[in-house]
Amino acid sequence: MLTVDGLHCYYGEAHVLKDVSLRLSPGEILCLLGRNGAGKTTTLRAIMGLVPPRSGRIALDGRELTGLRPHDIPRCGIGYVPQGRRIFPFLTVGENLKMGLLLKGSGDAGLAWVLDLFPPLRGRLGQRAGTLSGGEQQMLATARALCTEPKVLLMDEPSEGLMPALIRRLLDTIRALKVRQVGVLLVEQKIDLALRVADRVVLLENGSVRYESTPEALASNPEVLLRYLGVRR
Amino acid sequence: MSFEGHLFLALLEGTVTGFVLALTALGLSLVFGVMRIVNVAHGEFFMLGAVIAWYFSTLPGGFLPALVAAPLLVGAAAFLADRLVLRRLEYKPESTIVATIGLLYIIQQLVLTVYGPYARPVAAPVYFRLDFPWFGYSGYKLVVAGVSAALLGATWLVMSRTTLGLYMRATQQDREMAQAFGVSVDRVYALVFALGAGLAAMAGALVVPIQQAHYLMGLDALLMSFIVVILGGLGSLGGTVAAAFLIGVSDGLVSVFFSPTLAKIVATLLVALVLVLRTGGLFGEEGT
Ligand SMILES: Nc1ncnc2c1ncn2[C@@H]1O[C@H](COP(=O)(O)OP(=O)(O)OP(=O)(O)O)[C@@H](O)[C@H]1O
Ligand SMILES: [Mg+2]
Repeated sequence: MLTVDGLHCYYGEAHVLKDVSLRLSPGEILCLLGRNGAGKTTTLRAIMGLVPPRSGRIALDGRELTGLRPHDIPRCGIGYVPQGRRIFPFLTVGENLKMGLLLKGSGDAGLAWVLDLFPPLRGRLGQRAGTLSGGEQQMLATARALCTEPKVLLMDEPSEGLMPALIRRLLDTIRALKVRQVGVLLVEQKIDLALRVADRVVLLENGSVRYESTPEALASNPEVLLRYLGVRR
Repeated sequence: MSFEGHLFLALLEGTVTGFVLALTALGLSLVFGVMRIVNVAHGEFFMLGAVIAWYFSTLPGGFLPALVAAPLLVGAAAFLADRLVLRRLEYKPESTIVATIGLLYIIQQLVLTVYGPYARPVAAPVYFRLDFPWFGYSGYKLVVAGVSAALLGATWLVMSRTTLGLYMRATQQDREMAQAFGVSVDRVYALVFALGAGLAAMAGALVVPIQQAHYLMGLDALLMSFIVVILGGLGSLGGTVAAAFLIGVSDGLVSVFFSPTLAKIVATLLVALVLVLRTGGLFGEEGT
């Protein structure tokens, strides 16, 4: 279980996260929603150790992650699919995946199940990742993170710029992870997509958690949808 | 000597210069590419290599052990400089330029104090002449070119085929994401800085039987390395090597047919032209 308790983060003087607390159980899909600039990405970056929190704590299965150096955190079992994909563009597809495999030290066995999830990558292992299409790059970003065999996967707007067929495939992938007992912390702008896949949703506004519920409860609460997300239904 | 003789000499000299230049500049390119810092002290690592080689040539063991010792000692010094200075500055571009300027003077003055202001020759470890129809040519220069080529090849292998090379390239492309995949960027930086310095020291040690050791010889090495790295496209190893040959051969041709001073002027003008017309360098950017 991933626990985030009373997290406060700053960029310089700007107080960006204010007392953020989250819980994520194995096999759970938690969706983090909020408008642009609400602090969703910063929350994920703080968990990855890329933004040092000024106070609060982050722990995975009772193990304290706060204060670890950024490169130690993926070793504890946290995988990261960042906003904007950020694959290594000048490495080949195979080398991108190898970055994940090396972390786990699991070689080609780890590769096989990931390639089964993303068959289009199979024929492109030797191709430069920067030359892939947007959808393929997203697959690669997810596949690369899964190569580390994480207990928890952080996904930051993975549906950004994907066409509907690929979004369905993304949802299938997330459900497949649930079956494998991977916890998924999913940041989304597309509220419908979040409501379709999430077990629980958390709304962030201005760096604070404002609302937390099941997707069903959120869907039937137009007032909250309008107030925190600007969505009229 | 006939025209063909001159031309052949120019191309031969140019090729040897190209190899040495590539080896000298490679470390600067690597450090800039991966760490995003401009190492103004790069030429001093070259000079240290030459001075260490001179020192070894005065010992019973002779010159050859210097080819191992110089890169190791200089690499270790660079490793320390990274840990003690650059890392504390968090590799900020402006601060590291100032810090490496400081490092340049510290190294230079230390060598001046210990070694003195002399230009000292070192006898080549192998001596043979190659006789061409027009002139005889120093065999040692060809050895230097060969060793340089081998080291360029080895560096390329490390970068493209090893895990360390993969980590270096990943760090170069996206430092944060490299960390998110377990790469200790601190360690990669320290190794890259040491490797860059070691390669420069190797180049300095190799050329000392041709050039003599002097405490100011790093300045020219730095200037030429900058020219090559800018021409080749910042951070691109392939571009660096290609640019080294372009400069080496044009230097050979202009030196033989006109004058060495004009050759330097041509190289500098070439860089100015590239800076104005193609900011990415002649051979593109990134990616090794
Ligand atoms: N590197 C940075 N330096 C300074 N401020 C930043 C930085 N990154 C983000 N911010 C600010 O922190 C706040 C939260 O940003 P964050 O990226 O976490 O939002 P987000 O919810 O992910 O938004 P989006 O939906 O646009 O991705 C915003 O006000 C943003 O302007
Ligand atoms: Mg974001």
